This record gives sequence, structure tokens and C-alpha cells, in this order.
Amino acid sequence: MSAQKKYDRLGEQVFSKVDKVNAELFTLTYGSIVMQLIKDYEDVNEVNVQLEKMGYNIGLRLIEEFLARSHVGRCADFVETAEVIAKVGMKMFLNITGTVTDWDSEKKEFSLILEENPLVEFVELPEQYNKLWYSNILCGVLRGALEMVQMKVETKFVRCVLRGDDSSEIRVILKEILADEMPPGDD
Amino acid sequence: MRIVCVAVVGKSNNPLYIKSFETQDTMKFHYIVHSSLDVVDERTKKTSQGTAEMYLGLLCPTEDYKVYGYITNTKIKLIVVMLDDMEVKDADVKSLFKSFHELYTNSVCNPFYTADEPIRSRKFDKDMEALVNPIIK
Repeated sequence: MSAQKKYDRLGEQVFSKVDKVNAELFTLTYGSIVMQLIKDYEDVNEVNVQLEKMGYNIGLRLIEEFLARSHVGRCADFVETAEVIAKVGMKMFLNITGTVTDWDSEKKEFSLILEENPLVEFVELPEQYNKLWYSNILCGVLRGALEMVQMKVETKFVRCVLRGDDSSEIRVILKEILADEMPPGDD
Repeated sequence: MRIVCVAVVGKSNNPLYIKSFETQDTMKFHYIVHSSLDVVDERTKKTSQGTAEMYLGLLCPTEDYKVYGYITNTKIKLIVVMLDDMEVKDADVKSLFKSFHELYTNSVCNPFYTADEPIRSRKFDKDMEALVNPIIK
């Protein structure tokens, strides 16, 4: 589909223009955040919640950067939103492209599949942390960013490479469209 | 090169990882690695004027084995024990140690691994096997 190709290209373009950071530094920093949270909270479920909260705060701010850099206009529908996230958003910030699949019948839920994930480079999850969703910060980022563009979503991990699956999968569910502000001049 | 055993030893000469590629006598390899640590200590003391050389070379030929050593700047020692059946080029051993060191570095980058702990990483184990097995055959 040409729309997909257009977002692929846009993603590459935007990625080439943004500042980069060393990948190992990024991975090690995130790793130590997760370790510290585990030490502080001790309960893995609580760590999942905290990672999501952190991500949410990041997402609220990240969306501005994203919109400013990518110049992506308003998405026509949730389907387009999903494509933009997977091809432009993920590319710009993580240099990965996600695949959007498993739409439900009403087009209100989809799965975002990540073949690779820079956050989990070198990471091996020990048995006792089996319930940890290591990259849960990404769920929060999606939720925060989408809330700023008037979409209330629920995000959660369903599969993760650290648990033995071959790719990671985030389920995104549209809960409601928040009160739309009318574009100016639309009386 | 017939590698029979590889080992990673920590700063205080505590064993972090030891893997033998031969079915018999794993205790013997423990012993060989342990005794080679003395030679490592000797060699590193001698050159304490600050050399950057991590590869220590042939440490001690024992019975039918050759033991090679490699020490990192963080005082982690990598030991490789191999059968003394054929001529081994120094360059080959050096490149083996380089890959060995890289694999070790990758396992250390795991945030769930604390320094000086025994290495329990399954990936490290698998990678070591993949590194050594083609050479053995």
C-alpha cells in the first residue's frame, strides 16, 4: 500500500535528521533504571506499574517533539495512527519499525509487533523475574503520547523476547476519543 | 586446536565460569586452571610497569595439555586449556581470546548480572559452545 511506503520513507527521513545517542549507553542506562526499580520496589508487578508510569510521563512530552520533527498531519483514523506509530514514531526514537497486525472487527484494537528492541540488547531475564515486562516503559510512552492527541488507550505487553517468544508484541486498545477541540474557523 | 576447557576467573581468583568440552575428568581441569592462576599472577607482577598487553600466551605446558591465559584490565582472567597434539599458531589463540573476551563483555552488559558473580547466562554458554566447537572439529 502506498500509504505504508510513504510512512516508511518519512520514518527514514526523520531518523536521518535527528540527533543520535550511543546505543550501548542507552541500553545500559535503561537496564540500570530497571534494576534500581526492582531493588526499590521488590515486587515485580509494582515495577511494571512504575515503568508504565515513567513511560507515560515521557510520552506526554515526546509527542511534541514527534509532531514538530515529523510534520505528520492529522491522522484520518485509528488505522492510520497505528501505521504512523509503527513506521515513523518507532523509527525516529528507536530506529526500529514495528508491524501493525491483528485488528479487531471495529478497528479499535491492534497489535504492534517489534522484531527487535534496543532496550533488551544483552539482557537475560532470570527465573525469579519472570513476571516482569522489561520494556514496559514503551507501553507508557504510547499511552501518554496518544493521550495528548485526544486518544485514550490502554496498552499492554502480550509477548516479549525475554520470555522466550520470537518477537515482542504490544496490544493497543482505543478506549475513547477525548473531547475534540474544533479546528478554528469551523463554526 | 583441541580445546578441552575454558574458564573465567574473577579478581580474587574465584572461578566465575568453567566449561569442559571433554566428558572425563572435569575435576582435573579445575585443578589445572587453578594452578595456572599462579603463573598468571607471576606474569602480571613482572610487568607491573604498566603494559597494555592482555594476552599472556602459553602459561605452562602440563602433561598433555597447554594452558593459555589472558587478563583484562579489570583483572578478570580468561583461561583456555587445549590438548598438546599439534602446533598452534599464536595468532589463532589471540583471536580466540578476543572473541572470548567479547562474549564475556556481552554477558556483563546484562543488567541482571552483578560483577564477580558466577556466570549463569545461558546465552554465554551457548555462544561459548558455538565459538569452541567449530575449532575443535
